[in-house]
Amino acid sequence: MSTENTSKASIWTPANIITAILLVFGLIITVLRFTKGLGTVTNLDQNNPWGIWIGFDLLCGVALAAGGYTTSSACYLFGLKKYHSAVRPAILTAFLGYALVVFALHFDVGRPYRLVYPIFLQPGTTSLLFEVGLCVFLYVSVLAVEFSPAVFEWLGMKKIRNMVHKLTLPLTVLGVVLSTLHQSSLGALYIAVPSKIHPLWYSPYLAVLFFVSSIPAGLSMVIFEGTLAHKPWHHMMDKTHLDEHDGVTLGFARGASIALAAYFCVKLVALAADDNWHYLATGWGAWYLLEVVGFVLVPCLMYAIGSREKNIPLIKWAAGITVFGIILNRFNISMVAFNWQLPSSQRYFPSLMEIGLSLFVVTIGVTVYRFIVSRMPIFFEHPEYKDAH
Amino acid sequence: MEYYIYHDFMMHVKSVIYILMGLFVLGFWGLWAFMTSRDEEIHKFPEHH
Repeated sequence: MSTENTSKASIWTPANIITAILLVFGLIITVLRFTKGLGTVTNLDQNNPWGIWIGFDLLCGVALAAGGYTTSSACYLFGLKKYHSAVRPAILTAFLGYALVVFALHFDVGRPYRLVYPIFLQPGTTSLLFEVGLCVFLYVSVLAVEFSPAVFEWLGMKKIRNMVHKLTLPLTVLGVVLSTLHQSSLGALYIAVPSKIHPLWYSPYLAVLFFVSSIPAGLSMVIFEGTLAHKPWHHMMDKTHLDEHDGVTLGFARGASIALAAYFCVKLVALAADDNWHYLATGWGAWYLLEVVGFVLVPCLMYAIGSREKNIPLIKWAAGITVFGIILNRFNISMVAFNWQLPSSQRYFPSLMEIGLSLFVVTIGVTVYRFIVSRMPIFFEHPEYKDAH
Repeated sequence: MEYYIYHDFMMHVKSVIYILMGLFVLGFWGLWAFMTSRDEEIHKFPEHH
């Protein structure tokens, strides 16, 4: 009897109840979207055909999943083996991030059974969307294979695990190539609409800006996620992971500081190349300065001070601010500064159901993440494969 | 600032970017020197003994 009570209490935790509510609401919105159409659940219209599902689920999802290629290239391409314990959590986050990007895209595009059309049936080779689609399709496959050794270790499939493990280096190279291509292509998509985006955010360098900003986004996400995961899954972390944690945080902070400084420089060059300085004195300029100074320059300096002083809490704050800053930047380009000349009555603001669906997608990600890290060797090395890398 | 021909505009913009590039080089040098200054102290420490 007491065992039954204990098991009931362990299932109905506040986190599980919130998860269940969000999932139920998400499923209702899903049914509405696919039976009644986009107009029923979204505020999208002819002026604003892309909303929060593209701005948040896709643009932010892809940028914040960049931790996969940055961490694996640091470890396997640059030989920084001291970051090895961060690779699997980063690959898992990247894989889930990209898988959810594809999942969320179905809600926007509709007709999920036609997902294969752009790749296999009607490839539009002159379209940037084709490049994005192809790269994401290939990179999700690469991440699935990169992550599969953890699944095979969990399932005890030693032979196939060892076989896939040998592909680590070529997969890492492929991951960097594909990420470079589609991170930049997402920015390049917006080069097609120079008259719609406010001049402070529009730039011919958007492709470069998206790619460069994905590096600190990925590094910050690894630190941020490590911070969030440290408490609930501390018991799942082995000694190596715990010992290397501070080193990973300090090393990534240094990398993120330099990457943010580079991003800040490209931002200034983009501003100077179009001679848009005069816009800084307007209301839009204040918003732009808040983004560039408050969420790029400030975390850059916080990272620098944190890595110099070995101040881990400061670095964790910098990671949170950077992650928020990247989300703000993608929101500004895709929604806030998009159609800025339209009267406010024609501007886009997401409906509650659009926000609910984005929360649904994030909840699915967190639920799957919790399932995986509670079972598979993510924060610890499987005893049978210790030092196998 | 007014530009009469496209050449004026390009000259102005490129000049500004050249100045910015110089500042960036100094900025990166400063950032790196700041971040690694304590590392050098740690590395130098055993040499004194």
